[in-house]
Amino acid sequence: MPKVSEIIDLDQLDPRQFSTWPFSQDYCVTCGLCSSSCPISGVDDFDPRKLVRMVSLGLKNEIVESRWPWICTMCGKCEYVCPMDINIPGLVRNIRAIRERDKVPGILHKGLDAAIRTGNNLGLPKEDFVFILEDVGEEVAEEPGFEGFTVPIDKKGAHLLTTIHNKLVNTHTDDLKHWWKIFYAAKEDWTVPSDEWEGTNWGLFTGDDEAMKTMVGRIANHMETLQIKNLLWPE
Amino acid sequence: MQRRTLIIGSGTCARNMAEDLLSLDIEIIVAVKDEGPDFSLSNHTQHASAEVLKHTRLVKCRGSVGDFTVFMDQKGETVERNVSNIIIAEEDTREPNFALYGLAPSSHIISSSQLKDLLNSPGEGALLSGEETIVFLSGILDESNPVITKEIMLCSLRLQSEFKKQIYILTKNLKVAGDGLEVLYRKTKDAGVVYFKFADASPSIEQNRNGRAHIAFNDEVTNQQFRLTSGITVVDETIKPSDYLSELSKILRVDRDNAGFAQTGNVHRIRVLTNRKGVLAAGPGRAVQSAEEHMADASNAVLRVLEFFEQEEPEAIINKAEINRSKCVRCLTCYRRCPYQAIQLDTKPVVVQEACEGCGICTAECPKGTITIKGLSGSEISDQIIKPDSVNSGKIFVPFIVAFCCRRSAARAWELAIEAGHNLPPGLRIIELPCAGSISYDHIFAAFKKGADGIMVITCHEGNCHSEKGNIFARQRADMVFEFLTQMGFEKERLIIKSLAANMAMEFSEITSGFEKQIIDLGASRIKPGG
Repeated sequence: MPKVSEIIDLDQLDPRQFSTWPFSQDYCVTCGLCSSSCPISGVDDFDPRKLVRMVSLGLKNEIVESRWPWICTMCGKCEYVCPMDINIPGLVRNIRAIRERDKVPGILHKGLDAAIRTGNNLGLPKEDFVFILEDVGEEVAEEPGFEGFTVPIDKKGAHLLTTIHNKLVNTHTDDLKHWWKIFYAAKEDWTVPSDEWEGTNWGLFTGDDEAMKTMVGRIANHMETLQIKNLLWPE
Repeated sequence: MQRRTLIIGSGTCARNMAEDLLSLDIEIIVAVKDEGPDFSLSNHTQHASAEVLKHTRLVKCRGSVGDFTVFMDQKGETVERNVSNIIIAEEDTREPNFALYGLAPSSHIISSSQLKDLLNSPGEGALLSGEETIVFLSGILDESNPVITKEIMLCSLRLQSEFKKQIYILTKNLKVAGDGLEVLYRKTKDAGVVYFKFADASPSIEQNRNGRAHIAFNDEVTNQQFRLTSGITVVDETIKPSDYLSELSKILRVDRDNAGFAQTGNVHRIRVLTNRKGVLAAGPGRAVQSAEEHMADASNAVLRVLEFFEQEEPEAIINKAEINRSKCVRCLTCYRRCPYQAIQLDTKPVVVQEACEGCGICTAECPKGTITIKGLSGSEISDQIIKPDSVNSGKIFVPFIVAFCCRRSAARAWELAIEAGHNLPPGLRIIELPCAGSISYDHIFAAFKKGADGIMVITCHEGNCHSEKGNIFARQRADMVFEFLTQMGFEKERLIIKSLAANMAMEFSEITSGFEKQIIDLGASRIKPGG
């Protein structure tokens, strides 16, 4: 753990400050089953038991500063083996949530921030997005067996709404084709929205519930305005 | 026989037993070493008589189960009574561990009993006002136990929820293996009590000038250093047998456990038995126990007493020891060795038939060979050592193996092995004995004389012997025989000693088959039967 101070005065700590978190962390008996089950125990000296203990003792500065909550893969094995039913992944996510947003590591918050502002993690303008879809659509139509294929954008009353992972209109455009070919072969009546089409929801990883709600709300909104009952959300 | 039981002790366990026995029409004498509480036993005295002797200590005991004569000292007067059973339920004592933690008692350093009194007194906790933090030191240097753990958790729960203090419990192992303790632990955690456990290192504790404890330590989970000046430090207590309890064990010749309570950890004694028939140990006299366990002991002891008086079926007939008085030289080996204290001294030692359990330790130990039990003599055992037919047939060497087995463990494992169809050496001959402690040199050498190629002595595991030390005596004798064999230039590998439990059929098969292999490698014994 990051040594914020060498020696901590116990009476300066509030061991109750996270007691409202609903993860049973205070019931930890420090048995260590989580530590021995964790696939990244030992990386950066991390083990889940330490994190649980830090929350239980109210070591707020230390857990917020720590890299540990961010290297956790959220696999959930610790929770599965815990004899006291402590929801350790839930705990990790809550710790991530209390770090200042501009200190969230990597591109996670930057991508999410772009999505909230522009509708997708890349900040890709609507015209460019539509151009890419149509361009890839034409490539599909050129393949034998897919004659006449077009991408139905913003089709009101379609049977199925799909979302798009941003990398599919960035570096992995070929991967768009697989779904589309299936839709074509299955004669599926589908569509894709022209804006706020982002299929990822990185608030899941950064502990940002508000952002998650916004992202999910947009998809729900599309379904209402386009009057579509079914959703394919491949994330 | 008079239906009378002596209860030694003054606590709730003793009182409950007294009341229960009276209601079952069994006379009781309660011997209380000091003033003791007032027993209100009058409700039950319509049939049986009850006598409460205060300021009375046991000083001597003669006789045996069903007919003990006890001599007690009551303020300098000797009181003599005749009783059938004796129950030891003497109160334990508590000693606060101030010194253990290097602390001197002060208004800031108190024992857990002092805290309990404080919490129970009117104007409760005036002393606690103005203090924010309370630290409990519990079993950090010594092991704790669930009784103390429970008290500490109950107190800390009140202090944390009612008095709004911050409680820290510093401990080594948290003992929650008792009724309701895990739930209590959760409640204390919900209330905000913080626990620190020390497995590798102990906290450093120093008392400053104003009497407070300054505590610094490394939290072993997070590897973070913490320190705290504790408002009030509560030290735990060690529950010990009283000096009088130790004295009682000596007078009544009852085996004690390591802590000095009047019962060993032997499974055969569960729940209130001692090594001595007619002497029971219950409640605080038996072990460190909770109030609930004291009550359970009381009921168990009453059942045992009742069982003794109401016995309709005679006990299974077992052969008991007999001393040939004309040959006895009064060396008193039997008196010292008998685990059941069934040897009494008259002008010469006599076996108390009611107390003898027929284990045969005395027959094997008596240096003059003057003690016998039917079926255990050298010649009787020798007659049982018969080569199985398979040993003689065919040209392949089939070792003749004689296994001396305790009837409580190895012999049962053997039966189970047969039933389960496990492999057993074809030349194996089992000789069942009441206890491995009765396997004498005579028996082992008789087996060699009868042409055994290998001999096994199989005892109960250490600590599991019904006769407490029978397995240890067996090992001592086997060691001696190893020595003899080595000096004689005879293969000592032809003898082994092992321990087994009654349910270890597979292991029985493994050790006998393994031994057979070892003997096949050695070849046939050089001693010719009858030669």
